[in-house]
Amino acid sequence: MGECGWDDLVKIAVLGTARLAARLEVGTAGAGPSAERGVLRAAASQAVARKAAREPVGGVELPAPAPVLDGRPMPGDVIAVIPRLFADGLRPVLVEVVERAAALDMRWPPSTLPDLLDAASAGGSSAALKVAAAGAAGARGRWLAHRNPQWSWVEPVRPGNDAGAVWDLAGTGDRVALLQRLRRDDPGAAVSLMERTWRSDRAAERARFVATLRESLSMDDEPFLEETGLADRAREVREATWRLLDALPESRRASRMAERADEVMAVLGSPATFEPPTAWAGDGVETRRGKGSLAAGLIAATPLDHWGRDIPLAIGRVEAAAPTSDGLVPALRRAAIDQRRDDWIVALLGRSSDNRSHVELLRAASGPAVAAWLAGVLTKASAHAVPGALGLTHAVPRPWPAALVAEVLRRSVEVLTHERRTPADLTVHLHLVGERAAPHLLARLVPDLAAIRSHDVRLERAFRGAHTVAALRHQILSALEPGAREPGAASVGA
Amino acid sequence: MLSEDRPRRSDEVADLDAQAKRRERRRANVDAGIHELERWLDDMVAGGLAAARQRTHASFDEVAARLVDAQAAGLAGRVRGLSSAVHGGVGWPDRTLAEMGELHLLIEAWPRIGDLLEPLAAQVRTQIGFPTSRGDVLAGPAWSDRWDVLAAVVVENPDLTSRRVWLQGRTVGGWALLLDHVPPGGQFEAGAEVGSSFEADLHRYPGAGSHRVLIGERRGETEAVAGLSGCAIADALVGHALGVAQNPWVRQTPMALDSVVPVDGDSWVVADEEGSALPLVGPCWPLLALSGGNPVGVFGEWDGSELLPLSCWADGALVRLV
Repeated sequence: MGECGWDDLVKIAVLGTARLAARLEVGTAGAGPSAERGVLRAAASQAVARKAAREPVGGVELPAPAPVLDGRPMPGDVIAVIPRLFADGLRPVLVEVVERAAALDMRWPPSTLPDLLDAASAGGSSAALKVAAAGAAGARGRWLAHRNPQWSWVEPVRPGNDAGAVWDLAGTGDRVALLQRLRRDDPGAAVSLMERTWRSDRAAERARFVATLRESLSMDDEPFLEETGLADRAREVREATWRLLDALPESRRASRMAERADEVMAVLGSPATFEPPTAWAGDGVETRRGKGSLAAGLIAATPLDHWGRDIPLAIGRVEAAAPTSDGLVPALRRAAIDQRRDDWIVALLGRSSDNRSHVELLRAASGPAVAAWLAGVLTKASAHAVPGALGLTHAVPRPWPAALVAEVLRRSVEVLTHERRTPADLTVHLHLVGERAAPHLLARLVPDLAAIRSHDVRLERAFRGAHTVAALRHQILSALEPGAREPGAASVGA
Repeated sequence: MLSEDRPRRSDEVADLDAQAKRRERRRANVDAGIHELERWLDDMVAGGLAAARQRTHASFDEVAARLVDAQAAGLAGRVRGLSSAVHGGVGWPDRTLAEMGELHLLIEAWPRIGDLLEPLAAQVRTQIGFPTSRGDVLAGPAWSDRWDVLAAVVVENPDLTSRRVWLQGRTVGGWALLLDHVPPGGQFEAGAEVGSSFEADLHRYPGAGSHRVLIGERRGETEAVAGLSGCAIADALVGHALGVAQNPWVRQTPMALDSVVPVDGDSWVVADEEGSALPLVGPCWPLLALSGGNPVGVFGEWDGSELLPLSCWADGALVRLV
């Protein structure tokens, strides 16, 4: 057994000495010549020797080192709290903190870069997190990302490499990721890349590529959409193009749609049928419909300024053009959403009654406009309408101004104190107060929420989530920027 | 220990008597338990590991339970570990045979414990599962230094959660280990946070090559760890070999490496500037991110084939990896 090497010993052990007894040479050390003891003794001495004597591996190639850490270091007390941001339900706060740190040129602590990149790579993660993470990754993050295929989206093309060469060799998924990335920093370069292989790409691919133009969409993209997208032989590509041109009221298509809308609206009152020219179909007009639907489709794609500056007057005129059908105001809603017009959205909010259209309109508007509108709604809402109004809060993006925060708190405390049953999603909506209140409000909000919680058990439970997330945001954001002031406020000593 | 010339009180005599009887009973129980274990282990070798792999975990647990009854909880733990090894994945025959070898070493050491030098005998008793009272440990000599808390590892088992905390002595040097157990969901005592540094007297548990200590008197303010005192890979391996020579049953050797680069790939390693490297329990992306391809300090536990990285010293700070 003393002569037997480890690998042979393992083989003997696996088979068992009973089977090999006839062929074994018996162990030498100590008393008791049984084969089992021989194996066990040899195992003992060899296992210990192997444990002690492992040699290092040789000839390992070291990676090219990353550039020196860039950016400013994050304060230590923020670094200590960062792991909490990866908890479920705190993604929006993570995005906010990552964006803030990147804006302040603060480097994300290297040891938590993998967690950040994993969170941004995860299936259900928001595009906003990917954008924020790619921005905050810094030189170290980009170096790290190149070593893990799951993180290749951080820097699809390394500096100095030719994007065109990368494009030519990439598969569809990687090409889409490359376009998405380029659209943020250099939108025109994305269009140039698409044009490289446009003629030979399949229809489904072309449609996906066109869809990436949604990011940073501008009139610079109009020539490609008008001349290449609209002329494409595949309907799915043209459809993707129509959707994008709906959002460009200065485009050539939009002015064509305005002319056609006038034409159709002029004949809405009369009983005659209207035969649209087949050429209209090229711009996405559904030609096989009644006049009312035709008008609606055209109005939805017409630049809103075409109806004049006086918005209530314009809405009235459009409504009056088809008194029997109410299908025209929804078309104006579509246009307001696609063209992202705060002024029209606020005017139309007042005219719709169902929550779904409310949410669609709110989502398309900028924060300040809709925050003000919702605060107004909450002020005037009757007690039983408050839960419904609070349900719209999820469509109002951060940062929430003081007026909205105050009304949400005031009305929900009222509902919780005077209604016997707590509305089901109230806690979820209240969580948003803590999550979305503007940073400069947090210093007052955190103690205010603590005070509310101390009143009674229902309030304590209902506001617990909001308080926790507000306190976490305050802790982090005030540490990142000590002495930050309310935007627009005069600074001390100015 | 009572001095020979002081007359003994009757209650002290009764106490000593009871203690001696308890020791005798434990010795007899352990004896019987080990005899039974020896036969069980011999049978396993005779039948072969392939056959043992077909046995259920429950059959191993039964053997472990009888060892607990025999007051040999340490051996019971090894039998449960043997069950995991024999039912394990790639490399299970090697791991299993190694575990069996170390277990057999204890079985052979027990009858000869009287012939062993006390430190090694104490280690054998510890491995078998003889308890050592905290009072006895704290009554031992003080090991004074400024202690840096370098790392902590928490291991969760179904019936017990354990924590190892590694301390490094700054001036006199040396490694110290705090080992605690709590029931699942329980809380560990605070006071030795990773990255903290304090002046204290430590008291060692008996046993050759053992690092385990209790914290006695603490003095002064707690500060932050100011650095990692490491060495080269080759030197760390020599230290490990010396440790195994003292305690053949050692499971984790503390290793502080001065200036190594973590390298990712099919298998992860930490390498020095000559390209000589130790296998790492990988992947460890936080370590790679902290290093960025540059040399950093790494503290971890070496088990004879892989280094489990626990903390990293980079850019002037100690960062936990687990």
